Amino acid sequence: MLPLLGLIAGIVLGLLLKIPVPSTIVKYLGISVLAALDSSIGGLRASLEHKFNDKLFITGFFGNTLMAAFIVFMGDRLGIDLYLAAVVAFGVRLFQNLALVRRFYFQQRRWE
Amino acid sequence: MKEVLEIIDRQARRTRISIAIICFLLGFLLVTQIKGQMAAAKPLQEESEKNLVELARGLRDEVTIQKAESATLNLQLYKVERVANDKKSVIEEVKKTRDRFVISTGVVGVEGRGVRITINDDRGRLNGIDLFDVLTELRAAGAEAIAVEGQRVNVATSFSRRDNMMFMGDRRIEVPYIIEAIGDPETIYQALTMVGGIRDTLTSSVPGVSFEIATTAMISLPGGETPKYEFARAVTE
Repeated sequence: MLPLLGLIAGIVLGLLLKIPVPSTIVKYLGISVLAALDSSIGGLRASLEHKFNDKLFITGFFGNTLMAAFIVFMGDRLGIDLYLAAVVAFGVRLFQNLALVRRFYFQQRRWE
Repeated sequence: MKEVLEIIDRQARRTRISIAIICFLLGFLLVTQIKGQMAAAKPLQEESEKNLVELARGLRDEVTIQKAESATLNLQLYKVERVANDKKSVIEEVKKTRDRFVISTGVVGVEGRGVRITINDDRGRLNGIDLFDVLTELRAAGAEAIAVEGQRVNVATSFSRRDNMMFMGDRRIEVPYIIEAIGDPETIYQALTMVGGIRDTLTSSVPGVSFEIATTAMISLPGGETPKYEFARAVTE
């Protein structure tokens, strides 16, 4: 319940605050959001598998988010489009974790 | 047992709080990113007048900055080009001067259009002064480089007759004397063959002398020795 409330509070605050996002950093913020989503779904999967570790989850969330933006930024400076590599890497993991979460719920409800 | 349960409960609560914070951040990030993306993709027509004015002002400032930068860069380019051109022209001038000097001193081989003069002196009546007169006439007619018997003429060149033999410096030269000169062939030809000119003078005043002159499209003259300057010193300003 508490995490859901946190999510809703975040969304509401984001809607209320008019934080200008310069077009130059939209790209980096986008990849950070993807990394954050990946970490969150990964955390959900770990908790369902009873392997959840809060320290690992928090460090993973911040680490992945910041590193994703930094890697894309470095890619831009080096002239290599690492954005695509990051999107593919996080995207694949995200879908894998989502599939496992879905499977877990299916097994729990004996639909499978 | 109660304590253990309490610890577990506390840990679980801490985990839930940390997950809630992360979820809060996730929601906030998601919304911010979506709003940023929407703002970037929003067509200009949908913007309010105030935003459009702001946008236009921003663009105008950007244009001003870019223009200023362009002007600075153009100025820099102009300066660099001018320096490069100056350097180039100085090098060209130095090269030209050097060429002039080395040609005039007669130390390097030269080639070009010119004339070939053949002077025959069957009776051995010509003396050094006569040959020198020919050289003087050639120089006056604009000859840029001269060689006698394949030997370059320079400031130290002298002719003399000793024991009925002609010498150019210390080297003996024999008839027919071949004098080659690089310069405008027509001008030199006219200057030497004009009435009362050097050809007339030599052939009429010295018996047994024949003077033939032919223009040529290409003559190669060898380089000579560097003249020795023992007493003369260059005057520097």
